[in-house]
Amino acid sequence: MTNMEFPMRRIFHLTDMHIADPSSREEHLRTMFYAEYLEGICQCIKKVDNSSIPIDAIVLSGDIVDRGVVSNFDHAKHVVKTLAKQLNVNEESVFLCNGNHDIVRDLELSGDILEARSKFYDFSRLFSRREGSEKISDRAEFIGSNTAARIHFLSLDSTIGAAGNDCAGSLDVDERDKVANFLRAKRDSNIISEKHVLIVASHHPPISITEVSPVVDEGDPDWHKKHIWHDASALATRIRRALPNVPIIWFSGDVHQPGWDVKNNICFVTTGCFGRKIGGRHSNIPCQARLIDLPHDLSLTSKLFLYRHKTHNTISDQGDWEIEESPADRTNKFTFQAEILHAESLPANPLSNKITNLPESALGVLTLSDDLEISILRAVQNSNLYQLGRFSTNANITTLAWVPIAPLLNYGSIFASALRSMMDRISIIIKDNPSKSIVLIGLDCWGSIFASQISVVTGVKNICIAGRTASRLSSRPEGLTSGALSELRDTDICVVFTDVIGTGESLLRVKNAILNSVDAERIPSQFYAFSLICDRLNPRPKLSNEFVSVFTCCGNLRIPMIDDNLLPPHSILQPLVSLV
Amino acid sequence: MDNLIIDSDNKINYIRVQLVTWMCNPMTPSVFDAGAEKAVYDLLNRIPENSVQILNFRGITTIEDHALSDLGNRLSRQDNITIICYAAAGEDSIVHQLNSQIKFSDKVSISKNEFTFLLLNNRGVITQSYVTDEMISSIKKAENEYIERVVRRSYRQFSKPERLESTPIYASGVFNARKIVTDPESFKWVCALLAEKFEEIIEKVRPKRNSILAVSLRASPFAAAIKHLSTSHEPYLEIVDHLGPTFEMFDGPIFQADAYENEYVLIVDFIVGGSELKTARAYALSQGADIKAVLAIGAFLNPNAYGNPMEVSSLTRLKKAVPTLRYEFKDGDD
Repeated sequence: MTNMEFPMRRIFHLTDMHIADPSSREEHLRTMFYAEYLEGICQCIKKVDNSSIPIDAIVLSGDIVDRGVVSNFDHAKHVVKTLAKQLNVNEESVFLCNGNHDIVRDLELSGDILEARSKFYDFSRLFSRREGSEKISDRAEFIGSNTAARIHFLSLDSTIGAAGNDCAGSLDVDERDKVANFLRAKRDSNIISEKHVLIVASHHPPISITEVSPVVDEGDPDWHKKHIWHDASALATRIRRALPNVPIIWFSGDVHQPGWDVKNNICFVTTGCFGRKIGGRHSNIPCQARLIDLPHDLSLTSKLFLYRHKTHNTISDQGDWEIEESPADRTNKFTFQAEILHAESLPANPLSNKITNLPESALGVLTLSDDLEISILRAVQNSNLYQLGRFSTNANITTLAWVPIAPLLNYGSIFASALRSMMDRISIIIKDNPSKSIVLIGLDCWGSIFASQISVVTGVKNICIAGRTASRLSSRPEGLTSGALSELRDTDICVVFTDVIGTGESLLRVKNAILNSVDAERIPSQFYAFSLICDRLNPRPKLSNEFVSVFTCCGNLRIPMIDDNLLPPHSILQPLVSLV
Repeated sequence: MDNLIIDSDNKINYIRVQLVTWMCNPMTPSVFDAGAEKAVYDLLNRIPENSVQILNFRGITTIEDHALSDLGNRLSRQDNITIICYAAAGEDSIVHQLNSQIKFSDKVSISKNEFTFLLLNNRGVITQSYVTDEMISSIKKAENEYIERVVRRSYRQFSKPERLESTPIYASGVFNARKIVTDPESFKWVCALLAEKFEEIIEKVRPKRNSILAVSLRASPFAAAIKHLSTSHEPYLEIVDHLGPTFEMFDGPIFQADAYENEYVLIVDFIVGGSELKTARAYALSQGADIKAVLAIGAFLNPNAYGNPMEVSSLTRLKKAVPTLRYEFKDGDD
């Protein structure tokens, strides 16, 4: 995917304006002060960020007016339109959901939930709903993108079912089904794809995230915990499953405190009140708003802007907007980039230069999954993991390339996908050999990680051993000790796991050590090998004879090897890694 | 076994649900799905009649729609008392999901400092009489004793004191974490408890970025499992091959990630003298990184004795698992 196809997105979040009395002298967003207040934050944004990157959307997550005084929507209209104009955002790109203060409580209690929200609906039609929306249920509405930013919007009413209380309402399974299936259909018809972003807004947050401590709100330190929309956390999981590769940012308010985090691969954002009566009853946290950037590489960043009073006089409106300087402002990242990032900046298929006439030795190396292999190749390319140099892993043969395993396996879902592919194949081996005793052997750190994880799922015993016991790098107890060999008594099948297979000598050494050392009538008769990377083109004639099969997650990454005698001495070309 | 029998009369049965989901749903062990429900159901069928069931949902963040319906029905039908407990901190969502799916939403949930309980007996009548500090203590005691047994099994007694590989002291025997990794059941319990402790450490030390570090072969499987089971954080896993117990390593870059200013939680198997901790921290500092905390299965000394400025924690004390354990310097040793 190119930068053009996944442009930088910048989203401005505000919530909880709580417009109570526009004629009051004590309210930030009052008639005579709101323009100055909004101008202040726009100037502050420009001051800290002169990148001239435009803001694509404004998200306003409810409690626009205070205590159900819906006549204040008339004033709120001027406030939001002015903000959009100052931030240079189209009014159609101002996305809204209602809060518990935006409904007429008497009507809500009488059961007329649509009429209770009618003023909010009128208000929202001035903005993103101007071009129409698709109603999924009484509480859920979808607005498809009509801009180059490709932002879709899902508005969720978290107040339905709360019977007029301030806490979140209910959300049953049927409603979750409706929303999930609606989004699934959008995905299937390619209306939403990985090139898009889904913004979700609900007034009550589905999970608890906080950046500030201690929290004091309305005199109750646990106030925010009582305002979580718990039912919606299950909806978040359903949405993520319906749109597995789409970046999703879920904005909320109500809890009057800032927080943001990526969980379940969804970025959840809460921000404190944007406006309120000065010295009023709500949060003790400064008024605030937030700017979220989602660049091409999906590294989310957040800037929190705070309205700081200059004096201790809490009835004073003499304050300034400033950016929060806090370690809490960090980078969060979606973790499916292996599948979606830069997909089209690579050749259409990174295997397109695959050699089709494989030498005979390559035939014994079987790739577990083409999709996984492509993900690995993309990860290696995107993160610049491929290193050239002299890597001495064998006394006679030198490897000319190296791929660090930790960043590769931390990249997106590669670790999970590798485990799944290996588990699937191991299950077949177990199924095909019902009466045979099997042991998994993890070679060195990463091989041991694979073996132990698969052991948990399959219940098959595993042993972790150092493959370089003879060298200075490992201690005696890490090798094939008598204790380890006793675990191999009467084993029929050994399955060996390692990170990278070079010459294959480590595998052969382990096999020979086992066969020569196991003190039992029955010794292992079959050996399989699993690796993350194994260049299929490297000659390993012995390996294909000694192992029933050699499986790898990636067989088409070239790892050239050369006779060490063909290279200059170490004094001229020093090895970058030396394991011998 | 994924369940522990807590008291000597076999009347209290304890299940850590995360151990079941890890097996049934290995890619996302924090999700309780229909497969996990069936497995828990099967486990309950195998335990004695009239025992108290304790299901610990710690580490579960999502219960799939309908995944508790059969189990909920069974729990409400049976005569024995069921206690569902889960960690309270940050897991309010699970409280709510359990409540709504088992259809006892109008019943009491009681907040304790560490656990919240839903109490169900036959036909859903709530009883509070079983929520006692003794109950919490019993669960913790049972888990601690299990860990001690696991650690004890990993110990090999020498016929006479031998010098350790990692540090120049003589030991009456040696612990080998490989024995724990080898047995999937022991490995699962240890990892679940380490993951729980890891979350507590993260809350306490608040590293700039959540990164797990292992620097030895036998600690690596535990480190990977902690990453896999961690629910509230998505840590980066860094494996250095390796600094311990033999203090030599590849000649390449020590840390493969962008380590500068990174703050790690170091996972080790056993701490005796603490050489591995200090070596790892020295290397981390040389890269502009730091080790904020250390988490071990077992430690010989009181963890506070190793730490400063690292926060050191362990699941158990080695001496508790093996009371005859002795370490000593030999006078005049060359």
